Amino acid sequence: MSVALENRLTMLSMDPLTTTEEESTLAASDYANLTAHLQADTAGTMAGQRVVIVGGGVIGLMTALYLTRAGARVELFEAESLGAAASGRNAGGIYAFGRAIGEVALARASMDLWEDLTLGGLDSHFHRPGHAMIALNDHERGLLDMAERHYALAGLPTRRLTPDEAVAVLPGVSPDNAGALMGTTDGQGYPFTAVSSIIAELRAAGAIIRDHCRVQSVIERGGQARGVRSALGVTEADHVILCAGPWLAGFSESAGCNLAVRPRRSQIMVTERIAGMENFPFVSGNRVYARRTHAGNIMIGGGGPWEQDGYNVTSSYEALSFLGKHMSELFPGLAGAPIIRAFAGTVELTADHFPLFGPAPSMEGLWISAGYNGHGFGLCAAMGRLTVDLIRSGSDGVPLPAAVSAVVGEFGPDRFNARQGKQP
Amino acid sequence: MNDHMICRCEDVTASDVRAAIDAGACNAQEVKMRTRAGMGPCQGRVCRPAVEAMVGVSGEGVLQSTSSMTVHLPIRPVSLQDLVIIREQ
Ligand SMILES: Cc1cc2nc3c(=O)[nH]c(=O)nc-3n(C[C@H](O)[C@H](O)[C@H](O)COP(=O)(O)OP(=O)(O)OC[C@H]3O[C@@H](n4cnc5c(N)ncnc54)[C@H](O)[C@@H]3O)c2cc1C
Repeated sequence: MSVALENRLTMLSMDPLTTTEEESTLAASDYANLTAHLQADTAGTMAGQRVVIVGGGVIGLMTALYLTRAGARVELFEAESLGAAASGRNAGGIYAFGRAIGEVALARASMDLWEDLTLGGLDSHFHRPGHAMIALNDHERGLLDMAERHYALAGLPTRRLTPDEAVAVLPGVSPDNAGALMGTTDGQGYPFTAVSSIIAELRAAGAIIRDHCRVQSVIERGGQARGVRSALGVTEADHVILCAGPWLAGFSESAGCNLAVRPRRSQIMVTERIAGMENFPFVSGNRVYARRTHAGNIMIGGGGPWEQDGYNVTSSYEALSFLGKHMSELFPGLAGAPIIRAFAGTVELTADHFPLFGPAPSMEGLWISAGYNGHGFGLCAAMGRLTVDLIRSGSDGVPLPAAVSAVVGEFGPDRFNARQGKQP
Repeated sequence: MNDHMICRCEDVTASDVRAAIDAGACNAQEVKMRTRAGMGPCQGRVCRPAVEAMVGVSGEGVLQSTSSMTVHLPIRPVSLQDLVIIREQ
């Protein structure tokens, strides 16, 4: 077998070989500045402004929540069921460990916001059991050692586990593991209750939610977004925010730039409830990841080059077989666990794996927040909250705070045009 | 109160389902997302008709929708390792 030096740590998006110490150190100060900025009370800062949100996934819903709290009059349109696309078909991971260093500050801030929201009554099942990444060979062990240093510089707490400690902490893990590294503050939550709970707060606060109602077009007058058109006719607004996930590309013409988001299937299978694993963290390694839900099921996911582009959300035998094989190698103790369900969702990929977040170049008052590359459940709290700053920077002339532009400054939705040369 | 059990696997009663419908769920899949009905070992084989009937009869305000509770593989529980062995045959 030629697997000895393979890297199967597919959840390690940070490349420890190319990431610099400067970048890692910057992630720590970015997080500190962002945290200080997020102390500010936004209540009333958007009073009276009418905002239409297009898309009722977690990004649209969380954005609606923070804008409503800031006083905006929000009307949200969802073409189908609320929170039922990727937002209802994801693994529930809300974590920073493993993320590219440029996303760590944002991911940490988002975990903190999820925690605040949950302490404030949101029914999210958010908690922080950690994320353990498990090495199965010396090459992977070496990568984790390097990653440990970068994340330490970034201020993200981690704990190294020897192979024996991994066996003690991670029930069922292979005794032949080569050790693990664990982000000890990493969290997770339950999408279904989180979405229902956000909807309940929005309705109670007087926001209007239109589900099963597709937005057909954005209305522009005099270089300014004025609202949207749907089966209900025209809905007027001062701002329109496109939170359409992988469907964002359909708005390229309105936005005046190439909103290149690629839909790709991603699959998960779920075991029966398993007793006695209450403290099981999010785990990854050997090309798969897994999480224990609050009900006690273990969800197992992971992809590969064999996966398809597009909107097909049927499960494939190939994926079930792949997940079964790799998970039972990583966790032989779970190999007999009965699989009761499998499902697939559509992730939203951009060319550089960073989101599209910022103003559309075509008109004032049109904003974009989508393309979260399979990290949108975790990031939605931070992105929803920062949309308040984003919109104020456009409408009230309040400059985007340095702490915010430091973390989202590279996410301009027109960046793919700039690189390819402007298209008419 | 005769609160009928709708989904035994996940312990969901008729009043849980009614509450989900009152909160805006307009098809069986949306009820499932709010209550976990149909998410246990039998995967809705027992409760799906009851949930669909309740969504159907709950009257005004409920949208017509072709979408229904999704049916997921596998048909019967199989173990992780079985998935692999079947493949290698
Ligand atoms: C299998 C899988 C596992 C994942 N695991 C994780 C994880 O562990 N952690 C994590 O952070 N992320 C994870 N993700 C990614 C995460 O689910 C997404 O990044 C996130 O849900 C994106 O949210 P969204 O609201 O942008 O998009 P979506 O959930 O796709 O929502 C977009 C919505 O917009 C609506 N829409 C589109 N066009 C229109 C229109 N014209 N009018 C009205 N509505 C419209 C759509 O109907 C849809 O409901 C996973 C994804 C998958 C598929």
